[in-house]
Amino acid sequence: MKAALILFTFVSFPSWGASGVKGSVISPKECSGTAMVWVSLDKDEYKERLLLMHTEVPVGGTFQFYLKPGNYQIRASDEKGCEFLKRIKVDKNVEQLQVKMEGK
Amino acid sequence: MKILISVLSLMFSLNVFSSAIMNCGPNQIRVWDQNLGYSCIQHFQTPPADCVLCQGYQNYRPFPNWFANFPPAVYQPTPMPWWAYQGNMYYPNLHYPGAWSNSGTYPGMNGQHYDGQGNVYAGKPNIYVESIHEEKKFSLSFPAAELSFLATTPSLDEKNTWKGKIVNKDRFEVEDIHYDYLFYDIRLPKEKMQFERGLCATRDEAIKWMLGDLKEMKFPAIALQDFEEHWKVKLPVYPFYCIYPQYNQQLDQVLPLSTNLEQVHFTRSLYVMIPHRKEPDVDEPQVIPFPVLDSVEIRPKTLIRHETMFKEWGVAFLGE
Repeated sequence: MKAALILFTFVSFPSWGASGVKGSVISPKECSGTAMVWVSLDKDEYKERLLLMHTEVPVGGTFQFYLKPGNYQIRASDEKGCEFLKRIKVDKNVEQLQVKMEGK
Repeated sequence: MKILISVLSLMFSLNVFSSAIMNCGPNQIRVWDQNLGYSCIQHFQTPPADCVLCQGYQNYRPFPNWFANFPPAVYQPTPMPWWAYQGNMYYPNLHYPGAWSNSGTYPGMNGQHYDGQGNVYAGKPNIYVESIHEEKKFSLSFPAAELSFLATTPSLDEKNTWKGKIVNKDRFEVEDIHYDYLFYDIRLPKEKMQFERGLCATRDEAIKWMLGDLKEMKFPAIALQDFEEHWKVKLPVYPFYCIYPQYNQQLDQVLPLSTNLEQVHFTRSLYVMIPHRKEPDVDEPQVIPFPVLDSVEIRPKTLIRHETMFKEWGVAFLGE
């Protein structure tokens, strides 16, 4: 009974803002000190990417995007042209992501 | 001496940022212009009839901006920050605060793509700090039970708290990483916000007014610079905006913030912006009434300098 109650609690009452992406930024020396991390929709019907939010994150810094379940693109770029791109699928959990910047 | 006092009084009264006209009467709109200051009008001046290209765009005084109808990605009259050049290559809606809709009563955020609840989308509230301490442990929490964050930097812990140190008097250190400011995007309920105080202005004037308002509240230079850099890019190009400033009085109810520090002072401001596609006119019924009362009356005043001063700015848009 207890197990059923616990299960019911988790299934029925997902906490607010519980889904999304939590990440940190790693940059090699040749990249700049700060990255802009962008999150956009990744849907077939959007031939052009629909930008939802972006945030500036220092090297080693952390960020979190609170997202509805769905498919997204996480892109990061910096002033020196270093980049990162990953397509992610968000479900009801928080995905952990390491944004590893790479030089061109 | 009397003459000197008179001259100084006159200069003060001509300061376009001072509240020369405090409140407007019924059936008026409170507007601001950097040259003329505040005034109460019934409708904005119509652009010249032969000015086809400048219809519905930017500041038409004194000369029309002939390039305003070009999409921002193609033509940029002023230098942009580095991230805007890069963002332009990938995102057609870079020059909007997020997913945007033009189909509602007012243009606004397209809520279907965002998590949480609340019809006010607060974009990029940034929290800056000024402290007398070279190094001081701090925690900053959002104690409300229901919160609809959209983004944070750095990430919050499970108690919706940032913990770390204030370093070099004006920066945050969280998990050994330095941040110029703490950032969040959030959805907020509209109900406890005020929609009678503020002003209407053209887009460019609106940015200037907000910068002036932040200066009046003694925001640090880096906060002003960040504000201008960000919102010159991210404030959508509509010809007119009505601004409804929310300060401590409103925000402490809508989104309380708490800290472990003593001898602390918060200055909070969030500018709720309603874009207008054409000249605001009192004869046209509005869902959100035009502002008629002076917002300076509710602006927080910091007469005493505290050990630690947090300053927060943000710009918000309504959902469609």
